[in-house]
Amino acid sequence: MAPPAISPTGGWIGTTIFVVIFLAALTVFGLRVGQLVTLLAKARREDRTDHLEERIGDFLLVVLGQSGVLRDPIPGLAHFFTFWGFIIIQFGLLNLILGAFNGSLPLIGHDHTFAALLDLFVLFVLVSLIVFAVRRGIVRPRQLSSRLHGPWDGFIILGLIFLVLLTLALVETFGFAASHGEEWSLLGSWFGPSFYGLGTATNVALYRVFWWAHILTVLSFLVYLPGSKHLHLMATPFNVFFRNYGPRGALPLLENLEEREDYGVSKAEQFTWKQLLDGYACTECGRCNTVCPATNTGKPLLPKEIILGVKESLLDRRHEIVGEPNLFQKLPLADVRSNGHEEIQPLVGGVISKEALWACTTCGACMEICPVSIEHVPKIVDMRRSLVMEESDFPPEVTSLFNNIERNGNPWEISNDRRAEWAAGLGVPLMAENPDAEVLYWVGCMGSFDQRNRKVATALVKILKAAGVNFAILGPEESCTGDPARRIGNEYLWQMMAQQNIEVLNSYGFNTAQTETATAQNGHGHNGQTSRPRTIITACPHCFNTIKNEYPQLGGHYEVIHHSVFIDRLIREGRLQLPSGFDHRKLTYHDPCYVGRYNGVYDEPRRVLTVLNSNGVTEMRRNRNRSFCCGGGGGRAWMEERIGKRVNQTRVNEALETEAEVLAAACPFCIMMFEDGVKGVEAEERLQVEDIAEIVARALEEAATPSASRAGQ
Amino acid sequence: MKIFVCVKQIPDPNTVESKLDPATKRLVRTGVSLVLDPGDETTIAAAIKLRDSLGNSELTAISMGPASAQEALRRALAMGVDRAILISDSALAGSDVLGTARTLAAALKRENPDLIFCSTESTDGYTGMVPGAIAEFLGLPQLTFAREINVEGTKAVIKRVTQTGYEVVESPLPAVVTIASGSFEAIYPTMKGIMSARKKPFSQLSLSDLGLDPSQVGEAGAREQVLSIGKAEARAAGQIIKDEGNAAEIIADFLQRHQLL
Ligand code: SF4
Ligand code: SF4
Repeated sequence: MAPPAISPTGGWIGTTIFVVIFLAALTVFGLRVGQLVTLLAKARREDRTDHLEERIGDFLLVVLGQSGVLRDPIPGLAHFFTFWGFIIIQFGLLNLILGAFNGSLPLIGHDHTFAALLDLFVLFVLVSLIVFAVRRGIVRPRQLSSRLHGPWDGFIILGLIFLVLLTLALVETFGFAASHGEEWSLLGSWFGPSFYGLGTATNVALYRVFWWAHILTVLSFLVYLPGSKHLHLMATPFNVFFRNYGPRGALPLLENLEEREDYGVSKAEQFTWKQLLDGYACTECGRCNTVCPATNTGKPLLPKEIILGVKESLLDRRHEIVGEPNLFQKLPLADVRSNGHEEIQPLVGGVISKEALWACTTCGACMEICPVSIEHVPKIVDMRRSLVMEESDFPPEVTSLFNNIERNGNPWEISNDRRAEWAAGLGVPLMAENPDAEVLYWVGCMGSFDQRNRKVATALVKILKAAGVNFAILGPEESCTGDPARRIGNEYLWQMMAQQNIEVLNSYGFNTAQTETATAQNGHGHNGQTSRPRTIITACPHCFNTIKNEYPQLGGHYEVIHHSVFIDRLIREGRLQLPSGFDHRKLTYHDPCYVGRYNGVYDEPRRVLTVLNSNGVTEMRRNRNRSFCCGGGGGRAWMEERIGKRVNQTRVNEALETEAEVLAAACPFCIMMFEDGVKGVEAEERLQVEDIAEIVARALEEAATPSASRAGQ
Repeated sequence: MKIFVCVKQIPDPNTVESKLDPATKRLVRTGVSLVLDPGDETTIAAAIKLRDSLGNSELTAISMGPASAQEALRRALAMGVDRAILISDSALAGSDVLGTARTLAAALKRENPDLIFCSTESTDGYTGMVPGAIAEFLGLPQLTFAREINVEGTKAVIKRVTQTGYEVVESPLPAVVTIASGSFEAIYPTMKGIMSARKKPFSQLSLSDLGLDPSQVGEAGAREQVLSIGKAEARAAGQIIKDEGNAAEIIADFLQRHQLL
């Protein structure tokens, strides 16, 4: 705690003024943050303290290691240095403040290494600032434009940071000059000596002037921060810490449907605090917009605007939510927003348009790329829930979907009694006939009724038979899983369908929670046999995801595997003998959102395809977790696509860019969308859409009659 | 105003292939999924729209049928109807148009309705005669094929669908109005609707409540007799025209042959 060479305040009067200003700024800052926190406290509750150890580990990696932003290397690195520069500069600042009390930081206060490090970071940050300014002012990526804070917020912040650095450099320069090098710093040692000529008294005075300038800039920054987009500096660490550690493919359960007052979100405070914290944490980087299939095809949906819209709506109604009159209203300085919007728009259909909500395919690309773990899809679905269940306001074509699912157990006007018709003559037993089947093949509505996807179902049966799998289907006992209903916002219908299916699955002893208790009780599982895991497989990623990740919310715990993974397993276990490299056509593979991003299955389908195809898999521009949606998810398959370019055609064109002859997929909706897309761009002659099961089934035929028509020859 | 809407539960026309019982020559209603007649859903929508525009009005759905018809009425309540009445009595089984209309009219009469909505016809029987018979039993005027309806003072004014457009027709209240199918968008119930449907007034009436004699209704009172039933001729397969450069010509010819051009 050695005293500084020169007292920056010049005595107790200066120090007292400093203390007053400092405390005032701190108070304003505290009140502003207090207002933001109060708003969160008024929101719905949600527990985000599970997986604590992982939370802490990831926190270190993402926040301190900046692993999120680093995925985009140039702005990422600039951000990395700004972040660390900021931290280091804080210590420098502390040192300067202690100077007012004739002190300094212990250990590093007068340490030259620290002083040098500090200045190196100042230089780093300066370079980063230039990178940011160039991006914002000259390159101007569209995703950076901000509706909420206007175009100036970004520049004000950059300007403030620049001033902080400039005044710091001047403090160091004149500190060095005034003390003749006793107050050593890197920058001071470079520039200080040139000012010796001014004389010590002038240098001391200039030192004090810039000390004040520096402190005041920093304090203005502090006061400005909570109301600006750089609020993320404070909110991001919390947001990353409290991010979702549950299954990514599960939408939150809407509990207590019978007794609740509201069904979804029509006002910002109906979100949980974590959903609202997302708004504070959004850095407005716009990465989500760049990957969104809706944004990319000219729909009125920009995921960033969803997040900022929720924040805007929350702040618009801040006084109403906190309760009027309140402290923040009476103290204008404590209010994060000074100019209240004259007319407060409703959240849904006002700040956020209904068209935007309906345009989402729930593909999850936005959540995947967001560097600060923001959750877009649950918000979009929450607002859809309100539209569907409270307002009965949805695209008209969805009405028959809901009615059909409810009445017929499938999306069409077809009696569910006919669900097993596709399997007639294939020798596929029903569960009722083969209750001990080791594997339940969950066919899904598309596999059961859709002409194109019945071929996939037939191919999968061929594979299961060839591998000698003891399997069965449910036939008319199977109903729509409810996935499209849930993603469109009809939680009630999803719960209804889920309960019905869970009952059926449990009756055949598939519930792993039940088998475990049964085993624990008498050492035997289903039908008195020793319990072995009984598996459900399905070719539909939407059925797969909802049964696997969402049915547990209603007590249905099952071992569910996507058919691509099951086939890969059969091959690796040697149960399927396939002629490797039999297919010579150039092939590309599309990752279905609900297999890839939501459930992390990328390698298995590729492994299978690589074995079978002599050219392996030619990747599209966007692949694996960056895959671009087919346009069919989130219930979009059941809605008209009235605005902009077609999502499916956009993806088909990407497949065509690879010059592939086969577009392999692993999802009935993708197949449907792509078949349609291929026709739309008139590429029927050039590109075949095939399910991975169809390719494997053809390989089996090839193995049986090796000389038979060689695909692609 | 007291507004009523007559509704019916029928075998789901979208999924159930209607089966006829050769012995009774009637539609088989057991073991099939039953729904509120989709036509009635749009009629209910029309009635709700009018009720909401009038204000200070009550809308009651009324149905005659077995106990299962409760479900159809619950759906109507969930859509936004205020109150439901089910007339259920074993003696009603096998009612024809006359018996049905007599029963519904008796129940309506007790309520002093101002306006009674019916669909033009049911989606299972398609007789289209019940609304007229109700009007007759109650001695009320009937307005038919409405695609729009308003109440002006003590008059009901409708736009009546015709071959070429519509006519504006009015009648004094009370009146029976039939709604032209497809004129209104069915309402998908909200959760509030579904939940509150459980708590809305629901009364069940028997024949004796209505002061009707079992001999006047049901099989016993039927004046209509189904003489025979037969399969409708299957629609002939369409003709597929493949464009080999002359498709337009073929289509034009086809239309000309059928005097459509
Ligand atoms: S889930 Fe997909 S479609 Fe929806 S907002 Fe995110 S990126 Fe866009
Ligand atoms: S939501 Fe995430 S990706 Fe989108 S702008 Fe905000 S921080 Fe960036």
